[in-house]
Amino acid sequence: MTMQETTTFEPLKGQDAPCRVRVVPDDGDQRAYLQTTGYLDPADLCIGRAVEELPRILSIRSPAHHLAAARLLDRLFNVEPPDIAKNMRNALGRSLVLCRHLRKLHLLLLDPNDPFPDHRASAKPAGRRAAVAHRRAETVMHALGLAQEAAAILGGRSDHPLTAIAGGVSRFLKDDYYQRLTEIADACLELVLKIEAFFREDLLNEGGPLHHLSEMEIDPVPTATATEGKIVVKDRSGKVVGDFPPEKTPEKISVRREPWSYLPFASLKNGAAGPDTGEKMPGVFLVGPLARMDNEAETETSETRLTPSDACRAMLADLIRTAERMTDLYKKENFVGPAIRTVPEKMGAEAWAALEGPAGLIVLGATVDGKGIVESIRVVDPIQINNGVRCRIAEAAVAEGLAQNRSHTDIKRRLENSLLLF
Amino acid sequence: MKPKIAIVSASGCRACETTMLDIHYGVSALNRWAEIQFWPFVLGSSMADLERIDHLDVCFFSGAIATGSDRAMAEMLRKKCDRLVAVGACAAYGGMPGLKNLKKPATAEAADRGDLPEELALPEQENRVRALDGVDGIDRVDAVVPGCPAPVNLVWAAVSALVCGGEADARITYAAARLPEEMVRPILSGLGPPPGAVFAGEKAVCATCSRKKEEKRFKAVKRPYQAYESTGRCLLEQGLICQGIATREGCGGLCTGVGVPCRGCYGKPPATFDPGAKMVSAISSTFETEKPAEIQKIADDFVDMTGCFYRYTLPAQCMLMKG
Ligand code: SF4
Ligand code: SF4
Ligand code: SF4
Repeated sequence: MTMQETTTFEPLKGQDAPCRVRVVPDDGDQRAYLQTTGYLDPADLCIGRAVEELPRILSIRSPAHHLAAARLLDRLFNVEPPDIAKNMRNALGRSLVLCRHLRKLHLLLLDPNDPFPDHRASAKPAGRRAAVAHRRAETVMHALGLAQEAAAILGGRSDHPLTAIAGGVSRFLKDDYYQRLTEIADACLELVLKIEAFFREDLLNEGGPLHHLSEMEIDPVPTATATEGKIVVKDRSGKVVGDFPPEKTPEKISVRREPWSYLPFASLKNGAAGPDTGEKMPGVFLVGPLARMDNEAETETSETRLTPSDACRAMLADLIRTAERMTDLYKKENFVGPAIRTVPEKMGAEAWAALEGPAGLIVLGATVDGKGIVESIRVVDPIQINNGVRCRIAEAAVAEGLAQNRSHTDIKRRLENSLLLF
Repeated sequence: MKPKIAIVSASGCRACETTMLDIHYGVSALNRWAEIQFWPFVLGSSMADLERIDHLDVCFFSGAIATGSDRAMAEMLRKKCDRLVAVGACAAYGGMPGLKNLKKPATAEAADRGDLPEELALPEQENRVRALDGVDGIDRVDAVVPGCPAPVNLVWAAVSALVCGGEADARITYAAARLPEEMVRPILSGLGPPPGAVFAGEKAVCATCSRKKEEKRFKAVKRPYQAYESTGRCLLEQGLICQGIATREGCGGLCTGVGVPCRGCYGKPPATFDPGAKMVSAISSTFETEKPAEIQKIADDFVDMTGCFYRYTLPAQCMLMKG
């Protein structure tokens, strides 16, 4: 099937409005454009502000930007946080991974027609199915509630955290919290193991309601992560093909738009990913759980195709790995010590920092004047980076839907579920 | 009949909107009390769906008005909804997106995309970011839940009061403890909150901040990256610019409790006309000097007063930027 006139899929569940996919006829074929607006340009909010306010302001983009901005301040003031501050930031980062992935999984579970089935009202099979779906959603939300509590303990608040400041964190933990964090970590691990199992065994499998996620594919692309303060680029087989410090970002990453892309996306410049990667989508790269995956196959993915199902499995693996690390990290001995911050003595004029956030690589760069007022800012983050892959996924979902003669509603559902995962 | 409700987000970060999902978990099925008719983020509901709806009882609206589609949705919801509730600092006061108003409106961005077919043009950006009641034709909101993000307990207090009627009184006890008496009584009697109710306290954050006030004065302005006591004393008295005194209470001093100065996300308390003016007056009565040179030094050390004092309220507070 081809579309004769422009068709719009809008709004899309789980996407920031205004976000839509427009399918435009193109010489007997069609082109699908993922359209989102970048109305919140970080520069608009940050330029002119005192630099130390960046962790609070940038958290509007994601809670992990709070931590990335604190790291930027460490570099600007050339200070190293004490170990317990590093642990607290790291522990907050782990809870944010859980919060982000569980929120995505919850949205994936909500049935588009009836997200809140009143399962008490019906004993019919459909009612029973709804009850199972409801219980699954509750399990995800239970784990999310615990992760949010950990984030609030460690960051002061789960959504716009507060505690990461230049050179450390703003306060010691209260005594009551040590035991609570251990309990949260144990409970989260138990819950995410359950969640992973029902996704893998019942939902993503052949015949499962999310099996369609493996039916649309794009060519794999290189990936990037922040590893030990550097940006590490790997090819599709997992081989490291480049690495560079965050301050080299302007030389290595540009912002491009292609005929298929609509919004600009971050793109690796020549040489940043080796000579022979991503030939079909030059420069396009991917960040997030798929990029973090250890290639000794924590989960099976192919080197020749990339599907939303791979992204979902990587997210589930990331969830378990993070919960396991939480059980090691959320121990009293990691949060006690003599100091929580190193007080800066002098300020630089420019700094760059990279952080591996829940959704993937975040790179921040800023210049300041003599009074520490932000003069310029550069933000490269998953919203912008994964736009390239998201555009291709939107195209693939529409093409697959049309080839299978699927209804508008069905194509929309497939689009929504696959876009959620990148 | 269950009240029909809408949950929407305009331009913000979505944390306020997802609080509704957290509530749904906390109290089990929200649909015991309400029929959710319009929720683009979760149901994928479209503007066409909204056009087909004749009437809604309550709409929980978060996010600021920054694009043409935000505005269109807000206008339509005002017409269809009995009670329009601004959830979070963005909807109530313009929030952090409102900082964009300090910049000259940009048109270059749109021009840059001139090679795109018309149907793919960028959604129209408003020339100014506005709070929900700053949109022409929206002369009022019926209730406000402040905060960035609006906290779950206060959002739940608003949902209980506006949607659940008398059925959920017991559940708002915790939240009610921090709400003003004049608001709690009509809610508990089942009449619902008074028009324009703000689901927060009436005093300033200082009233519930746990920090010790010693009536001491400071000699120099400190920036939050400089050394200060991490526990105990009032931050303003240590020279840090903390806006608790010009901010509505309701969070219990969340930021100051973790050693970080308040930035005013609950908006101003009813007794304050302008939070910036209040802060200037509070600071000038808290620093210890009468020597012109030292006063000048303190004034010079303040940086970005507008972006600090109106961090969350610029569109609602600065009249010249309202239009
Ligand atoms: S008020 Fe804050 S938390 Fe709520 S939408 Fe706006 S930026 Fe996000
Ligand atoms: S000025 Fe700030 S720190 Fe001091 S009492 Fe008020 S809210 Fe607390
Ligand atoms: S202390 Fe101030 S900035 Fe922090 S949550 Fe309360 S009102 Fe908002």
